Amino acid sequence: MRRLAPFFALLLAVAVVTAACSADQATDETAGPVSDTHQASSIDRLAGARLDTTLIPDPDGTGYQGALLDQPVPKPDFVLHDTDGEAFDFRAETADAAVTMLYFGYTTCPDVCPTHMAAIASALRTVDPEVAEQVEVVFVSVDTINDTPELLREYLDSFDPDFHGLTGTAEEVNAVMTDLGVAPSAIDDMADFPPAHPINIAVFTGDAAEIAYPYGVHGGAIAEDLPTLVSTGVTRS
Amino acid sequence: MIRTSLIVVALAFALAACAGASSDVAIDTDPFSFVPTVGNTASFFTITNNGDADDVLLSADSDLFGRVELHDTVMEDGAAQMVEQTDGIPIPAGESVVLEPGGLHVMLLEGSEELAAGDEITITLVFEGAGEVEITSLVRERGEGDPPGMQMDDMDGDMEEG
Repeated sequence: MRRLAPFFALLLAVAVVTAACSADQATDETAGPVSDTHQASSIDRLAGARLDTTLIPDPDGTGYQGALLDQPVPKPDFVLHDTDGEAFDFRAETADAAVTMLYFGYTTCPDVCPTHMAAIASALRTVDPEVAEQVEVVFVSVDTINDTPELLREYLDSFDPDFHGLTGTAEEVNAVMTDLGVAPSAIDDMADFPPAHPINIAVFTGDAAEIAYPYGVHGGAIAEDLPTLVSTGVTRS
Repeated sequence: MIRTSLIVVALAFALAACAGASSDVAIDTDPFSFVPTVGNTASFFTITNNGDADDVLLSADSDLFGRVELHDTVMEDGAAQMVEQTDGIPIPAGESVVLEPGGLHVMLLEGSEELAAGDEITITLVFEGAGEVEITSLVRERGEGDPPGMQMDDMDGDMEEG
């Protein structure tokens, strides 16, 4: 037995060092990025196609590149301020537009907001100018602390100077979001920064939105839908 | 004496093995950034850990931006939220981590210069194991194909991967 002692000592030494060696790696594994997309996506499909769900377009089934909503969403009635500081009555200002796109975001949004704005701008440059001029785009800021009218104007100008940028108090913006059926997420306290925001672009034709564009939509897909949306709105097959 | 030296040798071997479990990170794709809007943009690329030890991207820095942060864009219930990765981005041994639009990214805030397509942003990445790695992120316009890899046809597949 005495002869075996060195081997035990050796085994013990190796075990101790190896354990110390792998301790760092074990703790690292708990720091993974949070992502519930898979789960959320499955639940959303059961919940139906609404503005507060992960929308998945079905071009072959519907004839539209955008995703059709289960229920039409009435055009909200609200007044916020535009980038000139003037009162902007959403229903009145967009009454003559065949198509109105409404989106909520903020200027320091990393990629979802600029990707959407760039896609819409690209679509409007692609379609016939007679179609484009019947489309209004309204961007409402959910960051009421940092997004001044001037900053919002500069931001939107980098996509299309005709885009409307609206600001209001967090309470006002949240009331609009609630009315629309999306989670109210406008902030007025830096402790809550960065704000969450809806990823779907609500597209109103007439008095309701029956179609929306999810994240990942390309400008070409919007351009494909626009002539139909402008002329006949949404027709369900 | 023999016992002692055996233990010392064993310890030395074990330590050597431990130190040898090194991180070896490589940037596999050409890093890119979209033209900044009001001084803000992000950088996207793929990091592969070719070593046999896990590593962590702890932070990033760039002379052209006042603030550089590691973020993830988390999307659920039709909403997105940018989540700062305060503990860094883990790069497990033998695996690749993709930083891409709609997901993990190096967020570049408070730009000090006007940047246009074709300009380059030098970013220093700091890894726990591999130390500092400098990358060059090419600035480009958003194109018709953006966001990359997210055709509507495979939208479902992309969302499932999470």
